[in-house]
Order: sequence, then structure tokens, then C-alpha cells
Amino acid sequence: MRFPRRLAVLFAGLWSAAPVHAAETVDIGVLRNEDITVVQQLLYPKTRRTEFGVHLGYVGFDAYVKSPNVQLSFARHLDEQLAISVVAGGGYGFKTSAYRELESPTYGVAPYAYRYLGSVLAGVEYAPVYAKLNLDGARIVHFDVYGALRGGATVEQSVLPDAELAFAPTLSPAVGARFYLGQSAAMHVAFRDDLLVERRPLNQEWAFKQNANVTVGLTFFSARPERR
Amino acid sequence: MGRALAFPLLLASLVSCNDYEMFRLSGYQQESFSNKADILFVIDNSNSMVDEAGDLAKNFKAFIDTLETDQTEIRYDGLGDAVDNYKRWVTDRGAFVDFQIGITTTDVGGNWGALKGKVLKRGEKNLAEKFIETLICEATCIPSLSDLPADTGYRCGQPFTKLSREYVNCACPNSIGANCSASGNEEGLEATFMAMCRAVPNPPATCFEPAPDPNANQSGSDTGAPDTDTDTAGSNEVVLFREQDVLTNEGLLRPGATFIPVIVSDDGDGSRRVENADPIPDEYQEIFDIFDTRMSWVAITPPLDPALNKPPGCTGYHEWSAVRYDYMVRISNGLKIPIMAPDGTGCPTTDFGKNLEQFSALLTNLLTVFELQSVPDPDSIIVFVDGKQIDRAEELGTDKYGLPVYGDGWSYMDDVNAIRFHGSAIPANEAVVRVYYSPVDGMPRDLPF
Repeated sequence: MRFPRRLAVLFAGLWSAAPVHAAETVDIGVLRNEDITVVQQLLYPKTRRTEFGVHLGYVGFDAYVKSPNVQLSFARHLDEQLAISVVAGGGYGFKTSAYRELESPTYGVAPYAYRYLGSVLAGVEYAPVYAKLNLDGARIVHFDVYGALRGGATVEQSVLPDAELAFAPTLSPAVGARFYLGQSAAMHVAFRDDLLVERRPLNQEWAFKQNANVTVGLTFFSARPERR
Repeated sequence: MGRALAFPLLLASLVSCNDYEMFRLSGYQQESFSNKADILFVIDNSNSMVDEAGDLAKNFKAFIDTLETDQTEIRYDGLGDAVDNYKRWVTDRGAFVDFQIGITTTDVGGNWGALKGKVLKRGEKNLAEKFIETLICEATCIPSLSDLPADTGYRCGQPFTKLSREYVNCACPNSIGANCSASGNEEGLEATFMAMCRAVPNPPATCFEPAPDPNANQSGSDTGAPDTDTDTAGSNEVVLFREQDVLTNEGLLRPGATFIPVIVSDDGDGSRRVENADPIPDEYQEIFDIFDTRMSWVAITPPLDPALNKPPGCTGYHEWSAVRYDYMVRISNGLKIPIMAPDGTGCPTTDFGKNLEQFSALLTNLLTVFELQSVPDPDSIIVFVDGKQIDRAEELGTDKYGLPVYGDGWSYMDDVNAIRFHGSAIPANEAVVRVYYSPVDGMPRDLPF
């Protein structure tokens, strides 16, 4: 039996090449769970973008005064998580039916309440969560969740007919979500709790007050910066 | 760990509520706001007063008509009535004064503070006619018919138009000479005190205490003293009030009402519990306080100039005696109306029509004093009239009696727990007054919210 010449050459080659392949193996160590990250494709980046918005709010957790309001927001995103934020707004607090019943001749009582008139707050936003929602298999919505801590001042007015104004230093923690409508717009749903301290002249006391404000708004982003 | 705590802390902040101090609101309040006026006319029944009594009677109908613009009886049966009353209060405050009227005389030695006739209540049929008849027939000294003018056109049963022989002949022919002051000493303050003693079920002990008798030789000589013996407790003292006199003036004083004695006299006060010629009747101020009744004095009495002297041309009374009424008016924020005024040639009687108009204004503005339901922190009080904030009145100094004089605005009277308006800040008839304040002792009742 004659051994084909070509096949003999191939075997000879393989024989001589195998030790070379074993010498090129790289040891990458042990892969642990915390080393594994699921990367969401970030379709709507915020880094170095500016965000302007308008929000409708409602301070509705007070028994005696309900305050619809409008807020304007500005945010400069330093990166995908951190932003500098400024929010300013105004509104008017109306007496509730409970208040009106108390001040009727039946009770003759008037809560020394203050109504929200306006506020200016500045601080930081931190958005650690970026995710997407599958809406019934029909649509994917990208959103992020953020917390904010802002400080500033609130102007309030006595509900009693003296209508005294109070200028109150304010600390305002907030949580919210930004649902992206596209590269240039997002819808915000936020809850913020303005914690303020105000001087009330009729009883000569400093009073602590919360204005828990639920807001829904629309924001617009500046253009995406060019890649360097 | 920090993030784990943040969320519960945030939730805790959400569920907490704003804590507001509750202010009392006093404006119209059915149970506490006094729209009741118990008026006692204390008529000087000396023989010099017949013309003035006639003038008072002639103008009284118009006075009553001013107050009774709405004859509908005001009801207080529940919240619905309270709301209705509030609306009426806002739109027709004059109609809202719930008044009643009694009459007595300044003649303590003869009448002992007893009411003449019965208490006449708002809305009562022919109220003005009944008042006029009682005034003329029981509280006016008509020495003789010849002292009165004739009115040949008057027929019995016709409404009173003026005090005339014919009217008296028809209404009360037996009154001629019957109602004249027995003592000759006009004691408006004492008569008012006695009338109050007779009106309450538990009179204060002072009522029963013997009082000095300014007319010791005349005391008890009048057998017309109702239910009262002529016992004397000493050579110069007399017992004016006894157990059997209790509630003989029943109905004169209503709980929560403002008691308004209206002195109608051309003389000053000679009441017995004050030293003779002492112009300041502190003694009476103290015994009136015992009744714990809000009082507002009206004095249609002799005039005094700002220095408490008689104006030129006016005679027939002691300055000190006129000052006594003036003082009671001053301390009660009442009304002083000169019964006569100098005109350069004399001191004629003033127009009773205008006098009663002033009194009517006092009644409809009764409430320059607004009683508060709770004791306030004075610094917390804010006052609004028709929605406009009224400033606290500045204390400008003291008056001739040493009492504070205020500028326009309001002041807080801690002795009666009330707000008093001064000057141009006194609310108009139909003004809505609201007083807000922080009560020092909390809310008087549980609140629903």
C-alpha cells in the first residue's frame, strides 16, 4: 500500500506544531459573581446635557390648605448619575372645606395655617438607577430614578386675614423618575417634601412645616455633546 | 445601611401632619355673642319733668320703629337658625338687636326700684303704645291737668301724638298727682341697683343691707312702696329690699344680655350709698360688678362742659351729681346725651327725637364691645371689620377720671375679656366684625378635624 505523499506531509506538520499551541494559554484567574455586570444599553445619555422643564404640582397632604402650583426646573448633568439642580415655582393655597367648617359659627375656630406662595431651591440630583420597562410587550420605556436634595427658601402667607408673609429657609429631599420620551424630552414624576421653618408673628413662634408636593412635568434636554 | 434607613425616614416624614395652632374666631356666635339688650328706662318723676316725659313719649314710636325694622321673631333652635341669623346679622344689624324694655323711676323712696308695668319685649304688639302709656300713666309726675296743654282733636283710643289733658283723661285719669316723686331726691343709680336686685333669683347680700336714708324724716312715708316695710335699721338707715321683693322684676335681666340703664332726668344723681357731693360713685361701680352683668349706661341728663362744670345758662343741678352719671357712662362706654343745652339765652330742653336717634345708634352699634369666648393671649389678637384689619388703639393718656383714653382702633379689656372699639374704628351698623386670637387655655370643645 502506497501512503499518499500529501497526507504524510500534513501529519508531519501537525506533529511538530502541537507543543507551540500549549505554550500560548493565558491564565485569567477565577471569575466571581460580583465581577459580572449586566449592562443596559443606555439609549438616552445625560452627561454634559442641560435639562429644562415645567411641572404641575399639588401640595395636598395638609388638612386645611391645598396648594396647586407650577414649578420650573433646571438641571446640569455632570455625568449619568450626578446633576446640579435648581427648581423655582409658585402657587396659591386654598382653604379646605374642613377649614371653612371650623371657621363657621358652629365652631368659631381658625387654624393658624400658612399657604404656599413660592419657593426657590437648589441642590443636587443623584440618579443611580437606569432601567427600561416593557409595557405589555408593545413598547419599551427607558427611565431613571433619582433622588434629590435641595435647599433654598419658601414664601408663605398666613391664611388668617392678616395675610402675613413668612420667608422660610427650606430643605427639600425628593425622589422622582424620568421617563424618556426621546433624546430631547422626558416626563417627570416626582415627590418632594419641603421641610421649612417659619416665624409666625401672631403667636411669636418658630413653626416647622412640611409642604409635600407631588409634581408631574415635562423636561427638555439640550443637544448631545459631540464625542471627543 | 444608610440607604436602608433613608426610605423609612422619608415615609415617616410623609405621614406626619402639619401642626397648626388653633385660633378662636369671635364674630357672630349664637351662644356667646350678645345681641340682647335689656333696657331699663329710669325716669325722673319729679314735677319738673313733665315736658321731657311728653317729648320722650312723642318720639318713642319712631325710636322703636328704627329698631324693629323686621318684626320677625329671631329663633335660636339650631344650626339652621344660626346660619339664618348670621345672614341677618350681616345684612340688618339694627333688626338683630334683641331688646326688651322696662321702666322704673328715680324715686327710690317711693318706688324702690320696682318696674312700672311689665317688661316689654321686641316684637310685642303695640310695644310703643304700651311703653308710652306706662311712661305717662305710671312714671310721669303730672301735678294737675291744668299743667298740660289741650288737644281738642284727640279722641280716646287714638295713637299718642302729644301729652295733653285729653290723652291723660282718656288713658289714665287717676294718674294726676299720683306718680310724683315722694322723696324729692333723684337716685338714678340706687333705683337701677334696686331694680337689678328685684330681677335676679339670688340677689347679692348687698341688696338686703340697710342703706343710708338721705331723707330720714320722709323715709317710709310713702305707703306705695311695693312689698317693702318701712323698717329702719338705724336712725339714718333703711332697709330697701327684703325677701318678698325677690323676682318682683323677673324677666328684666336675661343671661348674656347687655343691661342698659337709661337715665332720663333734668337733675343729677343723689344716690344714698355715695357720700353727699362726691362726684365719683365708686360704691355703685362695685355693687354693679357683683351682678356680673355687662352694663352700658345711657344718661339723658344735665350737661357738663369738658371741665365738668355747668355750661353757662344751665342751672338747677349740682355739678357733682351730674358727674356721677357722666362717670358711669364713661366707664361703661355708654352714651351721654345732654337733656338740655345752652343756646346763648338759656338752657332749653334738647330734641328728644335726636336724642333717641343717638340711643338707637348705640343699640344698633351695641357692640362696640365684643366679648370673647376664651381668654386670649393679648399679643395674638387680630381684629377685622368688613375684612379690613383694624390696628390696636394707641393709649393717648388719661381722661378727667384717670381712665385711659384711646385713639382710633381697638383695645383689649382684660377685666371683661372683651375687645372694645374706639373712635372711627367703631364698626358701622352692618359691619362684620371678626376677632382672631390664640386662647391661653385651649379649645373649649373637641374639634372634628
